[in-house]
Amino acid sequence: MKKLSYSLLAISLFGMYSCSKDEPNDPVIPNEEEIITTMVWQLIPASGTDTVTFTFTDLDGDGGDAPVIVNDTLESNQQYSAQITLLNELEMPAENITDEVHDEASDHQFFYQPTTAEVTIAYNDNDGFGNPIGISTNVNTTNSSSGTITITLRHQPDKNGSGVAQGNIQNAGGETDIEVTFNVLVQ
Amino acid sequence: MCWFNRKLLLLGTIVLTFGVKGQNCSLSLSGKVNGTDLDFSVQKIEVLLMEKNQLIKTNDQGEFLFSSLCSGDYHLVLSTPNGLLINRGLTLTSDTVLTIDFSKGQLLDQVTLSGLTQKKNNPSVETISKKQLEDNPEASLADQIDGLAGVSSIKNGSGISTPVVNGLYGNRIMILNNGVAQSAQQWGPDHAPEIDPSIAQNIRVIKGVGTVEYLGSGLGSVISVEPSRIKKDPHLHGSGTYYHKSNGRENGAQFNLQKHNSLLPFKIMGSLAQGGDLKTPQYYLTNTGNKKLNGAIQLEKEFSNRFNSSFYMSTYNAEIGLLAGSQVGNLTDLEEALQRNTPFFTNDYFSYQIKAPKQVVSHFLLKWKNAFYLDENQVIEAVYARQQNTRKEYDVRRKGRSEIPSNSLVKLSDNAELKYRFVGSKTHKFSSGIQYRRTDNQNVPETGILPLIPDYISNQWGLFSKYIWNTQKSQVEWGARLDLENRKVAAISLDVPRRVVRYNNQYFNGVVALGGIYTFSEKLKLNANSGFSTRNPEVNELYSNGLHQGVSGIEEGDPNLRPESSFKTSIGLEGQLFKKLKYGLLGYYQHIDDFIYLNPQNEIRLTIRGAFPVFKYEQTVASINGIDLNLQYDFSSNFIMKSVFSVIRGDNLTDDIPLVNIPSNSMYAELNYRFGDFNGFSNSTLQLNVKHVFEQLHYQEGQDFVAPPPSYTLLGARLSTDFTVNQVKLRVFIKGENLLNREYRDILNRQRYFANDLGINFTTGITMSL
Repeated sequence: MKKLSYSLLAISLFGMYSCSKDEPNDPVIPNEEEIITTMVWQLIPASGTDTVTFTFTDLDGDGGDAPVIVNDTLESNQQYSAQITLLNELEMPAENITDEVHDEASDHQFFYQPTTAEVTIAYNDNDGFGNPIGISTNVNTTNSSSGTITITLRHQPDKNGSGVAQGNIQNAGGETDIEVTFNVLVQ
Repeated sequence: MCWFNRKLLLLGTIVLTFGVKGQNCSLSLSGKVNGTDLDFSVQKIEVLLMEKNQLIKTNDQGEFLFSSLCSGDYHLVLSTPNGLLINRGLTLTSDTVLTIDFSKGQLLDQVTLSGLTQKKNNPSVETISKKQLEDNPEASLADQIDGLAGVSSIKNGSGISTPVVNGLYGNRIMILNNGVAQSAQQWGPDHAPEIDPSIAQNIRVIKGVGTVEYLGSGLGSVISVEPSRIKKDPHLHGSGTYYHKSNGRENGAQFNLQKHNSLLPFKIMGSLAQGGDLKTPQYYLTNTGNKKLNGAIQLEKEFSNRFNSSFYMSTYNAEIGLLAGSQVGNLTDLEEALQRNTPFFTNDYFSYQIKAPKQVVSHFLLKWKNAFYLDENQVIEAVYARQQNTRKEYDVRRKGRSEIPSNSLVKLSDNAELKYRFVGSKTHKFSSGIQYRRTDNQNVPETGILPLIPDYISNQWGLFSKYIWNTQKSQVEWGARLDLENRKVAAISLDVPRRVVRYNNQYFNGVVALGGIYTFSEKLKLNANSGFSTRNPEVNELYSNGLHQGVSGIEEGDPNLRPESSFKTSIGLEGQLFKKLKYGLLGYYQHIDDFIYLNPQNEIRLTIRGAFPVFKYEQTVASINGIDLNLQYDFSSNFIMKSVFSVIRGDNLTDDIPLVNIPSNSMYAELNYRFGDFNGFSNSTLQLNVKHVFEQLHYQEGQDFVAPPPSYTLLGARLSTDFTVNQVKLRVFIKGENLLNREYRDILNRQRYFANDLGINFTTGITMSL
């Protein structure tokens, strides 16, 4: 009796094993439309023609290959009109994520933190509620120097926090979507 | 005389024998209590016939007799000297002789996880009773058992908690949902088991040999959530509970209904609850509400006295909010959050609203069990069970994508097993079985994000045997199991262009366990358990790769991880001193080779969201050891003090550093005073309790983002009473937690990085039973 039951079970288990789909199907490769692979910070000088461009590119997103950072040099005593462009280059053609940020302007703000006092950055846009977004800025340089500039994009910051509208990140809170540091040379 | 009925009961079988004569009010109800290997004598067992309010005791042969009874429905209550209570309803139409056979309970009881250890009151098995479950209707599974010696819980806020037994959790322990191994996404420390504890009759934590019965039983402990069988009672019985929790303003209701029809005995259970933002002593924990809706149906049918079948179906559905301020984008955010007194996004008002970040989980279980009795002493059980576990996790995302889950998984499991049990002999008990499980884990392609863990299909086969040998003074239990697993994995590459990468895992696991109990005297028992077991690396440990936002780090799996192997030994003493002091002492040592853990690397990796620390799954030699002590002092039968002390230490022996995520030492004490019955109130009990959790001093600087929180002490109280209104039994309780409204943080709560733990809470509840 016992033997019989065991062999019956063994047969049924084997049956279950052999008739079950055994190999997982190919997983659907997600359309990663949300990823920001690329940030371009382009500065157009008020006088002269040398456009300055900083880029951060991580084409495979978080993990995988290391990002590529391209730094540039600013002219001293110059006024720039600067613009941020965010791209998702995993999409074909590349998707402009700046539009997404612009559409949710009151939920986003860029912050600029230079380590050198020779570079000052002022907001040049607003979210419709009188607060800055920080996609467009005016950048002024004075004497030659070098340092870094950290550009941070916060999602859902407290724009009414003390000094936040002037670019103070300390009281902003929210969640960081971008935090990129460029080396800057002013000469 | 004919064999009329032989039913499965929780603790025994009642054999009804019907005569043919007798009518009206001259009927008799007599019976005999049998039992071959009982902890108590069959003499002087109290037998109460409730409807007549007649209480008698069994004679020297275990017999009792009620006479001059009218035909009708009755309830018979037997209470044994060791506190077991059996309440059975019956319909009297003729002179009736009952045989109450306790020894069959071993054979027929479906839950014989550790028949031996349970009966001998082994300190390595701990139980939460129905009454304790009813007195904490708002508590999750982990919270119900948190507080047993050696048991704690890892939490993400108070809405999500998963049990930790002797320092191990997740895939290293097993949770049984009505005898079926819960198949869910156990790999996440912030994934709570999807089981509604209100369906349970009791919850047991087993650390002994009994664990070999279960396929893939991890490294030792089993938590078993056990619904009761349907009471063999022809009347409709049921109970309903309502409760309110002041902290979170949670309202909940639970009910169960059961009837032992002759056609199809059934039990229906259900529960629902909704709570809002919880509160620390100072501020609301915004977005920490929850909603739950659970239900279960149980059917049992005896086709003959040789064959019975039972069917069980349950569903669990929950939506759980996570603290709004706990979603951080990168390490800078986390560091800022750590500096803050009040978390980001904290509202100064209460709300029931649940937004992202949140989890929406559901679990469905279907179990069909058949038992065939070869004879009085042998049974073959065949079980089929199917589970579907769905998990959706939502984060705050741009452009309306907060409504789309960032993580969406469906896991389907089919379990089949065939078990043979022999339990007829007083000295020998034996069980053996074979098991099969197929698991299909799939990411639902809706997230727009690379999945954290890959799709896989796993096929597992297992074989076990367990043997128990009993003598007058000692018991020896021996068990072994072998498991074979084939896992086929389909992952998505991390480099571009994205493509499917396949892996094939083959594992061979084994468990060998030996346990024994020696009774020196009624007042001193010694038990020892030893076991060797192995565990596969899980898919997250092998293949996870990328940013784990919840923990602000990049986690890298290692496809070359080997299975863990563990050797665990425990020694326990249970006894009594000076008549009034009872104690249970359990010491354990667990040595784990190839212990898999997340090791912080000496590397910071740059992403567009900033720099992240890198953690890799690595293997080491680890040890976890500790001592659990239970003390009970009976000042009198109405005034009892109970206390639990747990000391635990985990070490990474290879690097000679502490293990992280090990609970800190703790102690708990409660004073219970039971008042005498007055004015219809009975079982009136007042409890005062105090819990002290020590600071985790076994910690090395830099092992965590922040040093372990300081020690804390919490005070609690509870008052409960029973009374009857128009034959409806009512139980009312009120309990208070964190009565001093103390601010504290607990090392095993991930929310501690962002916020304080819960402030004062009062829960009131009422249970009505019919």
